[in-house]
Amino acid sequence: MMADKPLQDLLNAPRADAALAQRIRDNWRRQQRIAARDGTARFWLYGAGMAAVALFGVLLLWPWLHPSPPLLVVSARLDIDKDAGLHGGLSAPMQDWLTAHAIAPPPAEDRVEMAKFCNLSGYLNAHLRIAGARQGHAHVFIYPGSLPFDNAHDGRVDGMRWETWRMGNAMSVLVLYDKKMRRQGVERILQAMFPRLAPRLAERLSVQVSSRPLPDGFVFTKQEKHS
Amino acid sequence: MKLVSSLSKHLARRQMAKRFNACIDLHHAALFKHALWLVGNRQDAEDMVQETYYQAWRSFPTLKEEGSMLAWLLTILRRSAAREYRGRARNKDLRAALTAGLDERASGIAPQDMLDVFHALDSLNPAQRDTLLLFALHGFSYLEISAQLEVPVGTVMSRIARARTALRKQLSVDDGNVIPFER
Repeated sequence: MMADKPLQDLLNAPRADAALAQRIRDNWRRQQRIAARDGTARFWLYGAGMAAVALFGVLLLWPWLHPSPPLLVVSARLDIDKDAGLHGGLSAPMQDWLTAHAIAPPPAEDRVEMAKFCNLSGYLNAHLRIAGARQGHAHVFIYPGSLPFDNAHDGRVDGMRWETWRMGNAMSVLVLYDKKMRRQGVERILQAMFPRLAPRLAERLSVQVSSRPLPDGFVFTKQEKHS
Repeated sequence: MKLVSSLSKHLARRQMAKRFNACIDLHHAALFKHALWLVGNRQDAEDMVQETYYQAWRSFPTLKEEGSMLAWLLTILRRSAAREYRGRARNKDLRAALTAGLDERASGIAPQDMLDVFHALDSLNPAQRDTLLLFALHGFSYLEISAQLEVPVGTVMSRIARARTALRKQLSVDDGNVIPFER
């Protein structure tokens, strides 16, 4: 039985293992290594998470970054495929219709393969399939009024480029052309058919060719483009 | 600039590790004794000390006063590590645990006395036991214990007085000379 021994001495009597300090140190170092490894893993996990979020964001924004073409353009593209087997050139009724709307025929070297009226989402359009002077095809859709293009100007749809043109509320033009058709060829056709479009054609082109301002009443020609 | 910043961070970290190493050498024995009197099992006591140091390292950068290092470590041991070991088998190989490495002749301490004290401490409520160990084992003053346990000094004094009474009763000593509490 304990007699007069002070409690403090007695409580201090147990001895720690001589190697305890070293074990604590080893354990501490091992935990530091694990923490560092976990930190690296967390970093990569965080990186992967951020990449996934970014990817999701891009997917979410994709429709805004790459808007799908207006419904009218899609309808026109479908109409092109539907009428691929039709031929017959520029028919007399179509010629009359073009004349009535002050639209000139395309240049002689660009042959009209097919011309018909078609319904694009409820709008009755004239559809002309024109074989390019060199190669390729352009499809010109003409509507005597304002077509709802949803402020879209150009783009690509199912392997074809498309562009829209508007002459006030009086006339809307939608052109689709394949990869073989050069844009200059399309411009020449439009310029011939719609002289009123010439300044705007030149204006669009001037962004690509030159920053020189165009004089009023300027009529774009192929030679001037190269000057 | 970035290189300088990372270099200074590295140096600061090395300095901190050096201080922490010194802290292990300085206090591990005291922590071990405290843990051992709590759990009566060497293995668990060592684990508690290791866990305490691990947690201490995580908050070491926030430690401002190094003078209070032992008090700070004991607080961690009490709050975090002890929680893990509360309720575990405490009396496994108690005699061996308490008396390992004890030179009975040189110290003049009988193993049976240690066992008796352990059982007496075990019979105290945890608050009294903690207070008594801080006072009698580590030699903290009433004020220091009051700050560590976040209780008024009066509470510390009354806990120690009650613990002393309970211990005397447990140890069946009535000459009042067993525990030199007065400082």
